[in-house]
Formats: sequence, structure tokens, C-alpha cells
Amino acid sequence: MKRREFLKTSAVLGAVSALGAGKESLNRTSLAAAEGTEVAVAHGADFGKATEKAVALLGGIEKYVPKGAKVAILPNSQSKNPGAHTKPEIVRTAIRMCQEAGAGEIACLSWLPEKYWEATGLGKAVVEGGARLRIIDLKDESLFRALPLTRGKVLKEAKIMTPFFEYDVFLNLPITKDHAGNRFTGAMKNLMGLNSPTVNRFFHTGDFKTKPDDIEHLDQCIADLNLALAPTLCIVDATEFLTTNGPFGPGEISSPKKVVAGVDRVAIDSYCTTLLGMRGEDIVMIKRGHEHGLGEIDLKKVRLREVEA
Amino acid sequence: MGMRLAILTLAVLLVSCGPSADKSVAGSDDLKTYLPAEKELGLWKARGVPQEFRGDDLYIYMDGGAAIYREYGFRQLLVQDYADPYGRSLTLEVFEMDEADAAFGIYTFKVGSQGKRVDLGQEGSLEDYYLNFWEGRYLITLTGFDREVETTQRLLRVGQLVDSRINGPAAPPALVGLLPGRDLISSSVKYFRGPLGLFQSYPFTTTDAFGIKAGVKGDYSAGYSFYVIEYETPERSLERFAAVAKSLQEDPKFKNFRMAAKNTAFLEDRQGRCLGLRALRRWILIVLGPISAESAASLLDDYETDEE
Repeated sequence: MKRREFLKTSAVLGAVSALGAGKESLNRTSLAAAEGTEVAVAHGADFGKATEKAVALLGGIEKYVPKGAKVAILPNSQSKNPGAHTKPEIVRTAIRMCQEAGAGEIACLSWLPEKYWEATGLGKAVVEGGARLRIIDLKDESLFRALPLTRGKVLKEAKIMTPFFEYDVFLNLPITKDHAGNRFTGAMKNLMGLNSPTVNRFFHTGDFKTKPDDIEHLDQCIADLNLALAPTLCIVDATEFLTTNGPFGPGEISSPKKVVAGVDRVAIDSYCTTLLGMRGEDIVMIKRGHEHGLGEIDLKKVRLREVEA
Repeated sequence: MGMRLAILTLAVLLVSCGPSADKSVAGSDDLKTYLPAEKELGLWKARGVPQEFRGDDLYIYMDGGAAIYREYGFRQLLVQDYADPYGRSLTLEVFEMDEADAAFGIYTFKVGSQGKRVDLGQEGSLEDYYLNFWEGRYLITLTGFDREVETTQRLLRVGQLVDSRINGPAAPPALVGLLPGRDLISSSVKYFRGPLGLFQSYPFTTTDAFGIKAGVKGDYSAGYSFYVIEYETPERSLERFAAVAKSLQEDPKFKNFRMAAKNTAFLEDRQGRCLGLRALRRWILIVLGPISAESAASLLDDYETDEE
């Protein structure tokens, strides 16, 4: 497939977001639904190998990263505490797979300061892996592009970091874990890492204080934000993660040693809730994402494939 | 009431007779005064300068993780990293909360049920790779990044050094004394000051139907949990009880809802656990667990009788 054709069909949002992101997102999801939602899970103590196996189950990285494509990667580097950030091995492997697929520039994008990347070991993994670490000044609002969300129920405008629009492929690499706001974070919530932190604070209440409807509010905002951004592929770290005191930690850790991959972020999050002893329906964000048509919440309708790595 | 009163009295006595009894309640506004001196740390050295965050700046440090601290009442935070020559590291966080109740609350929020009690502050808990203790309006969190004995010992040592500098003894909130004392697992107590804390304990409702400002939960050896949520007036309690009952009744994740009286409701969650709720005076009482509705009713009745 030529690069242009690829971009047309896979609807990596980038610049098209500004022209009607919601529609494009839904088109991509509809395509996934037509193909049958698929979630791949690889289990093993070698997290890099598990990452490879999970992506291989989906058909290989070449299915998502065409030759010459510019790839934006979004790991979670929020906290150096154990079980709070995406494992460097997973990020390193994702970068290598993209390189082997013939990708052009590969970059990790973030508005979190460099010290977070150093403390988590992710900065080293990115640079040693041969990718670029692009840190955006979180206080400079001119570095974020406004995207109207006509279908957003609470969030009417996202503000996505401008460099994101330079990339053709978007790999979403979150860690799944507990969250003190809504009890769960994973693929959908990770997209807040591309959105302006000023807008994100509105997610956690408009005036930074707890309000009566906080939990519904936060979850609806995240679902709305997901109308603007559709990852080409999600690779979720479910190897070792916080089950209490998330998202920052320190807290209790669960170690299922799993890497979860797929395109449908609602289905992936729904699956990952089960690793925390819940169901997708227990998390408002996932229900709202499903209601927006972003993916499948019912795991009975998902083709779940598991492999030992 | 006898047993509950005894627990509260004991808590107050422990505080007033403990080693911190001569300390002032005020504490220092400059959190750097609580940092260990370099000569006390041996081979371990401070790495970088301390970071300080006040009010909403906490979001810069921990982003979405800040909301729960704000709910309990956050004032400021000091963070200092330490490292030894062998590559081991730890992070010290000194959280100053608005008042002692807030520090106790966020402490109960953060500690796990498997932690080992340690003699630090008013109460301390050591877990796999981290420890927490609270004293006065301060919560101290120390995180190691491995499970080596040396790191654990260093967590405890740094904790002792900070503890020796902190002023501000205080008792747990009086509300804790309202939990039934019999068969209470003391390490399970959680104190809430808003909807996020309550929601983490159990997802009763995603809207703040409770309008919670203060509440407490304890787990019991028979397997159930008991909640006491406090309101300003009995009228407010009844009003909120009605709102909560309506919310639970309409939520598809619950079934077999029935009002047993104007102030009492029973229902069942998806896991088959019974919820019994009763508005009593200024409180909403909740019994939650794998027990029958009759058992839940009996626990609520016993509580009411005990109160009289």
C-alpha cells in the first residue's frame, strides 16, 4: 500500500482532525467494526518480546506503519513510581518495530518536562532507540491547536499539541492502572497526554476543585476528547501496574505480565478493566466512549487472542 | 456506644501520652526544616534541590493524581530525592495538609490493607517498597525503587529523621470513633472528605448524591464493611438519603432494591453483595458485604440501639 493510500484508509487524524475529527474517528472505528474488533494479548516476563508477539497477532507492525511514515508515539511518563509509567522496554521495542517497518521520523511527544522522562528511564529508551523526544512547553498555549468537538457532550474544544499534526501514524502506548478520579486509566485516558494541560484541568473540574459531578464530568470529557484523536494502534502496558493510589503512586502493584494491543481503544480498555477486577461497564469513561461509537465495550463481541511470549 | 467511645478515648490517650506529646500543634510553614541533615544520612546523599509545590501547583507535579489531595485539603508539598553510591534511590514527599483530619484522611486513603505498622508519627505503614505516616497536619511518603533490605532500612531511617523534626500531634477525627468497635479491622479504616475518596472505596454513584463532606468506613472480620457518613443536621441526612436511594434504585448495576422504611433501604450489587442504608440522626449508615439483607438489617438495628 502506498503511503497516501494508507493515510486515506487508516485515518490517522493529524491534520484531518481540524476538518472534522469526530467523523474521521468514527469512520476508522466503523472500519474496525466491519473487520471485527480484535484485541491481542501476549503474556511473558520479557516485556519487549511480549510487545512483539501482541503486535504480530494483529498482523504485524507493517499493517499499521507504512514505509516512510512519520510516527508519533505517546507513552505514559507521568510518574517514576513503580507501576505508574509505560515500561521503557515496551517503548524501545515499539520504536525498533517501526524502524524495521521502514518508518521515517519516529518521535515521542510530550508536554511533561524532561525530568519525568529521565526519572522513568523513558528518555534514555527513546534516544538510545534512535527516536526523537519532543518536549512541548506546557505553558505556551500557542503550541496547541484548537479542535472544535461538535459531538462533545461536555468538552467542546480540544487543544492538541501542534507538532502532532506533522505525523502520519499515531501509536498510543499507555500503561493501564488505577486512577483516583475514575478508578481506571488506559488507552482512552492516555490521549490527555496530547491535549493542553490547561484544558485537561477542566477535566478534573472547571475550577480545579472537586465538584458534585466530578466523576461523570471527567469521564465524559475523556470520551469527548477521544472524538478528536484516533490512534492508529494501541499497545498497552499491563505488565506491572498500580492497583491503588493511581495514577501517581506509590501503591499496590499487580503483575499480570501482559501486553495488550489493538485498534479499538474501547475494547482494549474494557479488557484491561478485567485485570483490575472490574468490567468495562463499571467505568463511565468506557461506557461513554462506546456510546460515542468509538468501539466495542462488550468483550463477548471482541475477538480476543492470547499468546505466550 | 461504649465500645466506640472506648476506641476514641484510647486514640486520644495514645496521642496525648505518646512521645510527641510535648510538640506544638502549629508546625512549620517551611517544609525544608523537616529534611534530614546531610551528616545524618551516611552514604546516602540528596540528589538535586528540593522541589516545592503549593496549592494548584500540585497538578504540575502529579497531574490528575492531585485531585484526591485537593479533596482532602492540600496546602503544600516538598519533594526530595536521595541516592546512595550503589545506584539505590528513594524519594521523600512531605505533604502539608490544611489540618490534621485532612492528613489522617489522605493517610488512610494511601495505605493498603497489607501494610506493616511502623512506629512513626501518629501512625505509619510500611509496604513492599514504600511507607507512609502521618503526624499533625503532615503526611510523609517515602518511596524506594527496589525491595532490597538496605533500601527498606533507609526508608525507615529517613522516616525517623523526619518524624523527629515534625511538630503537631493530633488525634484521628472524632467520626472514626463512631464506627462499631467489635470485630473492626483497625488497619482498614478509611476517612473521607469528598466524593472521590468515597468512590474509590466503593462506586456507589458517579454523581455526588451523598454530598459527602465527612465519612468513615471500616472493614469487619465477618467480611462486611460499615460506613458512617456525617451531615450537619438530621434533616440534611434524610434529604441526602432520599437522593442516594433514588440514584441507587435507578442504577442498572444494582438490583432487588426495596425501601424497608422511610429511612432504610436494601439492595444488591452485581457481585451479589448486600447494601443496607439507613438515615439515622445526622448520619447515613451503610452496611455492605456478602451478607443477607436480614443480617444487614440486624447490624443497622444494633447500631441504632447502641446509640440510644
